[in-house]
Amino acid sequence: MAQRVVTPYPATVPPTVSDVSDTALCSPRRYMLGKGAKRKHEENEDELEGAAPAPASGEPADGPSKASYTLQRQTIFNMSLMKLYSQRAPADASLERRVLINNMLRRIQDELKQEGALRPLLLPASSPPEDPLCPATATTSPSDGTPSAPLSTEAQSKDKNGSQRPGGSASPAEERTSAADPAPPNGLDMSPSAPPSSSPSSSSGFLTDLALDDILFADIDTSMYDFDPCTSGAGAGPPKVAPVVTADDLVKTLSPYSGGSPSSGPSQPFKMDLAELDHIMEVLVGS
Amino acid sequence: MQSVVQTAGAGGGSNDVQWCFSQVKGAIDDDVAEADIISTVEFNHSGELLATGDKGGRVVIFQQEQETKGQPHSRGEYNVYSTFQSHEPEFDYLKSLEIEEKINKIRWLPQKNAAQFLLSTNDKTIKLWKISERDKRPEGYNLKEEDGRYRDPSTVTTLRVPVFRPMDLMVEASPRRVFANAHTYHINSISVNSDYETYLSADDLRINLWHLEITDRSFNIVDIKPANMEELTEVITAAEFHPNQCNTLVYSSSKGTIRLCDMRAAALCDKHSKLFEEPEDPSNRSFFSEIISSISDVKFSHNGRYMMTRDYLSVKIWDLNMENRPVETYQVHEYLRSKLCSLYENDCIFDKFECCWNGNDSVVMTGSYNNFFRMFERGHRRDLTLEASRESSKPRAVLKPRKVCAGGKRKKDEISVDSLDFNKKILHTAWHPQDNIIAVATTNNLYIFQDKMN
Repeated sequence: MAQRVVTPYPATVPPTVSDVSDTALCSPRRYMLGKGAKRKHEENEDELEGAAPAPASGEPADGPSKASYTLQRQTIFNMSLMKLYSQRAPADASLERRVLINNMLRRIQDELKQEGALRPLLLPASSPPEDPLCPATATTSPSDGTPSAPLSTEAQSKDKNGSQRPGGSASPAEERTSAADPAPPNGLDMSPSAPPSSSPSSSSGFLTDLALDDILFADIDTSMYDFDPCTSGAGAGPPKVAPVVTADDLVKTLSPYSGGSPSSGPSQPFKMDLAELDHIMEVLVGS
Repeated sequence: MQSVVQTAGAGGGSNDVQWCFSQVKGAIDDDVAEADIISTVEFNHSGELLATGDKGGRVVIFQQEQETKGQPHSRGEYNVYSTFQSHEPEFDYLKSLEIEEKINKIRWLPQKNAAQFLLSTNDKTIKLWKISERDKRPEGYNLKEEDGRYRDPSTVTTLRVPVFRPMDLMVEASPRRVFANAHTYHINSISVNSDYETYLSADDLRINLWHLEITDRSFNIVDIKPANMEELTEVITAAEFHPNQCNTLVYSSSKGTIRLCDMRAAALCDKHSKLFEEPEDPSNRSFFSEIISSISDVKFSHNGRYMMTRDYLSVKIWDLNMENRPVETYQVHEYLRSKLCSLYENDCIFDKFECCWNGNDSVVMTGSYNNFFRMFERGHRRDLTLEASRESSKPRAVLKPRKVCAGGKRKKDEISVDSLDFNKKILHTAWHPQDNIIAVATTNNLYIFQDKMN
């Protein structure tokens, strides 16, 4: 019956990473060991709760309910990002919780992509669009090359499996590119306030699938959860770099929702963090 | 076996039974020390012993007093029998992570001799503890004084045979086996097999099979870790062996599925024999559908024909022969469905509630918020909500049923959803294997309730 035999892992390497304790960005911790104050339900959340979530397939036709649905989705998206990136102690990091939050983020991203409301955003350091008339298409294809390489190299050095990450991350990006290709006309139509000549650095307010996934997966760092003695070639790797998204940044992203155009600069905090991330990657990769 | 007075087995449903307060264990003050938070509760196979584990790595075992002739109408009280430190905090230097000493699960072994055995586990290590009684000690050695000092042999002039003399009862707990270093992820379940020789331990991505006598190796029987961790979308949340069939086990996932595996089919049970999953109700679909479908506990019925699963809002009972939907579904706190966004924000949506069967599989029980717990009587389709609180803690006081008002006009004695205390959650409950005695753990107190005996 012994197909796989688990042998003991010796503990050897001294610590390299330390996490900052949680500053309780989210409201009451699960174990609020105080007077057991009853937590009142907040007003705006009532409205959010009240918004009927649209079925996965279609969008609601009428304006107000779509607006509230989209607002709820945006709020949940931001909440999820905060949950993944707030500096929690490692002991609190339940893998199930992270996986569920990550799935939530992916689902929302997929929904956004399907609706075509999202124009893929290049990392600021990437090359400008080759075709100014069709920025959506143009921006996604170079994104396979430039920004993915530094991020995936970083991830590869941390990935104990030693599998070819650049290939791995590029191919899902390619799939997403092909899925996004039919979208650009819609994207342009639905975001008239974002001129076609806008550079990639001014944004649609959301991250590309590629950039976001790499950041998320960089945080779900296999070196924290897995050590396979057979693939020791990966080494210790650089310290985890996760963009720090503060509550204030996210409050800015919740700024006036104008019912259709997501391009009103709420991505600035994200852009700033991506720029930092990119700079750090360049330093690490030595390019 | 059972006296007439104890009607727990014979058709005593939750509404025929009146539940009374019996005892409460733990500190009274509201300032809860984190180490005292109860993390698991388990009766042994006879129900005479009740074990609790806490966040500080301690195990406390209570023993039921023998029923005295003086009080034939009251079941014995549970008093502290043994307390020991099962697990200590550790530091994993390789990953620079603390390993919590919190006891995740305790499982008793069936009793084979005078001693009792239990398995206790934290996130990484499982230990087999032997709990034995000592009530006699040898006295009258020839070469040793009573205090243990050795006598000079030249002073020994006569010989005597040492004899056992009674002493105050001492209960000793000693670790007999330590099963370590087999789990990369956090252990969420252990389950003793019906062969009483092997047991399983499950973490987020893998399930290992152990022999109770062998600590330096285990067999991996389920592995859902993807080659690329980027593709990880599902984890194992609970696992259990079938109570009668030693080749059968089930494990539940964060996506609301339960897989039944037969260990005879292959060494690695990655291919399930049965997949239990209920299609989603489209009218209830929301952003949180996946999260609330995540199964927090799975328990076989005692007779082995059914299994029960607990997800965030409901308890489902499955017939092992029907995979496409449960045979019964009970809503635990449906009024929370409209509050899911707030519960997601404060992380309550990730709370892992357990569930349990009564001795004859006619009633199931699970916990909720505000220190409420719920019982569902299967045959009569009745349900009951009770509260574990200091206010209703007078000896033998009958517990008053509670009701939550979901909306509209709140009747007298009802509690509105907005007044619920989400910090007072009952995650762990246990039911005596034969009698109507239940153990309900609030954050740091253990309540024992029993049915009113007339």
